[in-house]
Amino acid sequence: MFKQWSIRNLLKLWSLATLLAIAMIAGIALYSNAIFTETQQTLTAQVLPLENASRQISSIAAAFITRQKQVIASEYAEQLAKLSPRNVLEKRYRQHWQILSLSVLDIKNGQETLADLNSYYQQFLHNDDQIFRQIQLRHTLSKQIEGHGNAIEHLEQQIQNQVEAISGKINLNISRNKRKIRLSLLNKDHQVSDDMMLDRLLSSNQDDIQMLSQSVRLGVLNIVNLTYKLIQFDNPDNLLSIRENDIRQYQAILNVATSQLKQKLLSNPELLVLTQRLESDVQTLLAFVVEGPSSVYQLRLQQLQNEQKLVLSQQDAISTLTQMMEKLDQLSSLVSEQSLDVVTKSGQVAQSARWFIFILSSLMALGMIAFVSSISRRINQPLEGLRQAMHALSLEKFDTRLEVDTDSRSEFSILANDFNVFASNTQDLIAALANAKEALQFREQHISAILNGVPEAILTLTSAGIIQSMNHAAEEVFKAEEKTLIGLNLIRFFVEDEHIDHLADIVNKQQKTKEFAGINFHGEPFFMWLSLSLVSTGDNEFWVCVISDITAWKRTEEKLKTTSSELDTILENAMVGIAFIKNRNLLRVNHKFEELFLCDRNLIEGQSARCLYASEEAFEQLGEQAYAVLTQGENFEGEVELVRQDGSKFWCALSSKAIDPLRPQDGTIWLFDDVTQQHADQQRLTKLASFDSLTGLPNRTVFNDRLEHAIHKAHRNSATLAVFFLDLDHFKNINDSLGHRAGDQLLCEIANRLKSAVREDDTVARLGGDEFTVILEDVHSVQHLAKVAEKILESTSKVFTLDSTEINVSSSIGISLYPADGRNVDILLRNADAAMYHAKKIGRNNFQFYSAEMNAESNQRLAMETSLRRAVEQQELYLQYQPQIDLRSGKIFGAEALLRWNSEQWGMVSPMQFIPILEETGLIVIVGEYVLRQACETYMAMKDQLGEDFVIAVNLSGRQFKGGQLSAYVRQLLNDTGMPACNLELEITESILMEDTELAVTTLNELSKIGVTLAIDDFGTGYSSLAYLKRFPLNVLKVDRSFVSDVTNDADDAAIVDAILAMSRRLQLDVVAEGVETAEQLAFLQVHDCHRVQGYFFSKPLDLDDLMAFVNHDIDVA
Amino acid sequence: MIKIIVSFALWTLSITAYSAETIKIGMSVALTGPVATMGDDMYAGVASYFQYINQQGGIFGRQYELIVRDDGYEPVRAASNTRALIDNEDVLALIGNLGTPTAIVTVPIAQEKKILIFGALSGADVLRVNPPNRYVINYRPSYAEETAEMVSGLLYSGIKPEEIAFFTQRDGYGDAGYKGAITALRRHGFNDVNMLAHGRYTRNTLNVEDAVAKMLDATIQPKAIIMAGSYAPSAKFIKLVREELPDVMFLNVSFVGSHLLEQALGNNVANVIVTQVVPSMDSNLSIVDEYLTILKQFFPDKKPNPVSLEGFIVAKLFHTGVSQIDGNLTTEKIVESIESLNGVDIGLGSDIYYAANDHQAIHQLWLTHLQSGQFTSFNWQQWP
Repeated sequence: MFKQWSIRNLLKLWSLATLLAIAMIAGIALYSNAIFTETQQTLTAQVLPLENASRQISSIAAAFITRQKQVIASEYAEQLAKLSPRNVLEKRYRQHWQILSLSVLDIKNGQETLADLNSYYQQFLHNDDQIFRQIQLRHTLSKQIEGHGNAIEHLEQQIQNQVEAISGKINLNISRNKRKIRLSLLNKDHQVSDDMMLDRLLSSNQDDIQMLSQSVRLGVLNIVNLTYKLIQFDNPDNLLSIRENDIRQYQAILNVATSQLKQKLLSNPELLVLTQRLESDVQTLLAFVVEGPSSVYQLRLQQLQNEQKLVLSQQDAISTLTQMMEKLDQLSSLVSEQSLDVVTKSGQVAQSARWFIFILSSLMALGMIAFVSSISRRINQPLEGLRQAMHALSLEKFDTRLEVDTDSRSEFSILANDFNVFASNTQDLIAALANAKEALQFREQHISAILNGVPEAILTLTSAGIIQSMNHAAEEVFKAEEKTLIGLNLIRFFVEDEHIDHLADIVNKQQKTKEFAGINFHGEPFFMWLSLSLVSTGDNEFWVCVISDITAWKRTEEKLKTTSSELDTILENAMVGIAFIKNRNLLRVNHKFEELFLCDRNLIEGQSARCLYASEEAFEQLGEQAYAVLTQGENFEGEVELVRQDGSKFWCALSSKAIDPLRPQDGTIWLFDDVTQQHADQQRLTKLASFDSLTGLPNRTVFNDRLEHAIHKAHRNSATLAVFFLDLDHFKNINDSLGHRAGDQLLCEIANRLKSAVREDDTVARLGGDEFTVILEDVHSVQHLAKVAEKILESTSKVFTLDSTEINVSSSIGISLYPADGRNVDILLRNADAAMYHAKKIGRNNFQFYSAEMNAESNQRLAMETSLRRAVEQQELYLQYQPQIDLRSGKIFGAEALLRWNSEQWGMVSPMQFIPILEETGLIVIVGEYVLRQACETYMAMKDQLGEDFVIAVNLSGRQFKGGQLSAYVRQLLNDTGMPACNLELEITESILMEDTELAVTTLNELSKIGVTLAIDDFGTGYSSLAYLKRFPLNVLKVDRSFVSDVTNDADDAAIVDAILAMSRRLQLDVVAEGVETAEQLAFLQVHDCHRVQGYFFSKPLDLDDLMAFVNHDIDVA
Repeated sequence: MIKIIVSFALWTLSITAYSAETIKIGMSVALTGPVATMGDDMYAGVASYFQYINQQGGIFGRQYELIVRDDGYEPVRAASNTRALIDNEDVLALIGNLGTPTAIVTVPIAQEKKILIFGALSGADVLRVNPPNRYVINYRPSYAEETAEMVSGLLYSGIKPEEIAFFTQRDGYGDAGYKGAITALRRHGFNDVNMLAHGRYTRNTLNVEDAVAKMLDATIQPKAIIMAGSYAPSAKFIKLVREELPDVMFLNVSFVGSHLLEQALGNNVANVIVTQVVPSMDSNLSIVDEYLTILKQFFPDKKPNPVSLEGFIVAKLFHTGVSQIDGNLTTEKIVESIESLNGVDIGLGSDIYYAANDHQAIHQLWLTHLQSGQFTSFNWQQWP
């Protein structure tokens, strides 16, 4: 269209179009800017107030939390009042909430979120209130507890003072009385100062009251301490445990102590009032601590509960706040979404404007391009065609031709035609050259493939030795790439020692060997096989060299040589004899072997190994053993006695191994080591284990062995043998008094004497300690045995001199006979032992033959135990009663119930015999209960005749105390039978009190509470501690018969009884003397103020009927 | 009691109204509890002298302000009083404090805070270490000196050591008296002191029965009992012992408060001797006259007695020290000034000597004898 237009006109049109476009672009830009400003204003009006309000609310929430933390951290109630009031915060919150609610009016979901926010806020306020109340409660409780603590301390002080006052007043009374007595004594001019009498008059309840008041003091102290614990501990279970375990315990102690105190002080109105005040103070104290709804204990519990609730409330508050914050975030995001919409809209407008401007600009650019290209096309096209063709030609595209308009006569057409002719000529020439080059390349490729396929290196060299060309193998041999190697001289690849300086040197050497030591390009040595030959082509001469790398082959050869000589050295210098044996012939031996067997290898190699053995038999035996193992493919090891070539024998440790485990017949290697010394040591050790190290006599093992052996022999020969079992009498005393060294010395001496007392062949052994045994074989008569036993007794009872001390010992011997007393080791020994015990039992220093009765004796106890069990079931056990007499009234005041056993099998059995069995078997518990019940029932049946004051005494066993059920049983029994507690007296031995004191104290206290009388039996035979007796609520003390029986002829016993009586009076115990048998004893007791007695002098233990008869007549005690 | 406290308050106010810059002096004594009367009297003695000086125009143009606090003779309260007086009231010194168990806790506090304790009413060793504590300066002799004087006097009067017994409070005060007597007995060559009957009782209780029992149990009947107790239990003890042992003599250290003991004993008055650290009212020393006049002027309801006299003397001694100061008034200056008093006459009949290594004003004792309801001067020649 514009082809006819001039270039000038074209330019004018272009300027006009450009101006138009610029005007349009300006208009669009103004419009989009206006829209953007409007959007910005919208955002400012809606979003910012909301952001601000939500930030405010966040900070108010933080203030709430801070305030809450202050509330929680407050230490006392007054601090709470000082805190800033919460309603200020609430007011601020409401203000900002209002702003929020206005901001979200037209936002979707905004109202709901706002409502949620508010409900969480209300919840938070509620939590905050709760926390406030809990903190108030915490302060109130703390204050109350503190107040209680002070009150408790004050009470404690008051109680301590009261206790001090009470004990002081008592002491003062006592001192006053003492003084009065002292004064009155002085006035009457008596020279008496009998402290015992004074004490009896005065001590009254002094000790008890002091002890009780001390225990009140301690109890209160403990309770106060426990109160502190109550206040400290944070765990309700701890509190409960302290209250139930500890405080209750002291409470009980305190209650008992105060009530006992009151009882003790009944007669003293002043002190009674003090004690009552004390008691009421103690109760108040307890009320403050554990009793009552506002005790420290309860307050602490409330406190702990409150703390738990507080933690929960705090957690609630925090989670509510978190949720509030979430809601605020949601609100923010809702508003953000809203504003995003507005922004998007304005964005769209701006986008349209941009597109419009872009299209206009593009149109302008396109117009410009069209304009310029139409001008250039008119000149450039033909010129460009020629330039391109020339360039192609220069790039060897010889087939390039220009299009020629044959009709045209223009310069451009002529130029094109000439160009085409030139190009066609050049193309033909180039094609001919290419064919010739291709043929030459084909030949060369084939030759080089052949050369590179050869494993030997092939090189061509100049006459000077410079490498000109090579195959691939050469790179391998010289360890370098071809390009590196070309140009190097071959001479440099020989080691210096080869002395190769010219190719001629190689040619010379080649006549001897073609092996050379070379070095590769990196200087590493290698061995090569080299051949060099001269090639001539017309004027041109060059060398062809062929090289093989023979290093690997060379190395293998050398290694073989070294290994062989090393092995020889090892073999010759080995510390054990080594032999290579095939078909049991010695093929080769080493130097050590020669030394061991004192032989010459030249003579022995090739001979049979038989010459090493003492006998044909030994040779064969070892062969069998060894080859059995070796054929399994395993090593053989053994120890045999072998012969040296000079005929001497020695012990040798053997070890052999087949060279090929699968084919031992191909040969075996044998190691020989001289172990004669070790062998001897081993033998000595065995002997040591068998013999007693002290006396050198055989020990128990050997003894058993020999006895076993002797039994076999006796059995074969139908002979008799005897076993003596000897035990020294009272050997322990010697050990204890003279020491173990002396004891050991004595045992050695005994061993010597025993050995000399029997024949050489008889075995004397020591089983251990002071137990010796003797085996006598071929015994012909018992008389002979008796003689031997006497001889032994005689020799062992001769004086021994130990460390210059002369001592006499005796021994007891038990004898058992084979086959009469047993047919095996165990039975013979056991029976001899039993016989020995019998010998001891009938007086020591004698010997006893075993008899079946001895066995029976030990079985009897077992049998008795069995029949005792039956006796309990069949009621063969029954009670007798020994009367107890009151000397002052001459009347019987009670009786001790005593257990009797009339056995169907054994007749009357002594309690000394069966009671221990009852104790051991535990039957005593059932029997004890039976006795108690029987005694109570008897009394109840005979109550009318026996009288109201009659006391039945029953013995208790220690076993009955175990388990702590005794007092409950007694209470039940008294209930069941209707027996008044005061008529029952329970007798306890001192040992019971000693065994399990805590349990004993508890049980006795309980029994005492029930009201039964408690007596301590057999007093004086045990611990007999006054302090001890004071711990128990005892009423009666029974002096043991052993003291009573000797009061008239033993001054010591008399003094003891006197002391016991005096002490009992002081402790206010009634005394019963047991075992009174003579009038003299009775007189003594009467003089010493003992009024209650029991014993054969009055009556033996009686059946119930006899007791009733006895009761009905008075006794003459004068 | 309320009346007294109100009057203190009023007095304190009147002083504060006078001058902006007062000389603040603290005092912690028992105003309640079993020895309250002694605290009252001590206060009256000290306060009367200070009021007198204030009336005369004060010193260096400044007025004394005496701030008193009640410790009930309890160590814990005494400690908190002392801290409060020093920290909150900025007192320069504590004067006329009462009691040994209280002194045991207040001395370390004063030492730590470098505040002077002057003229405390206690003869215990805690106030008398050697070399002396810089911040403790005493007027009265020690309990040990008092009981030593008793021992010497008793032996002089023909009492055998074996016939002496002891009754002491179970604390530092009682122990101090007992130790003094024992040391004196040893000095006199009697070493078997453990055989002597010794009864003790707990502070702030009347539990003296045990102690009485000890007297009755004594293998050799005591003829004289040396006592370091407070007046109420001491009186009870005397009554109880006298029921059994009518002829025994009771020798009390000054702390018992002779007039209070006399009141508590009522008719049971014979054979009671009290060692005093102040002259008796019937002596014609000038300080006694001065005291009687001034006390009557400021505390007309108070009867003269040795305790308020001691307070009076202590205050006068303190004032004498203060009046020597040249320049600013500080605790350090006061201590130095009192230490430099070398031979001053305050009307006690003999001169007072202090030094840096001697914080005891006097070693003199005045013996009094309770006769027909009246304490009169006593010397050992008068021993019955």
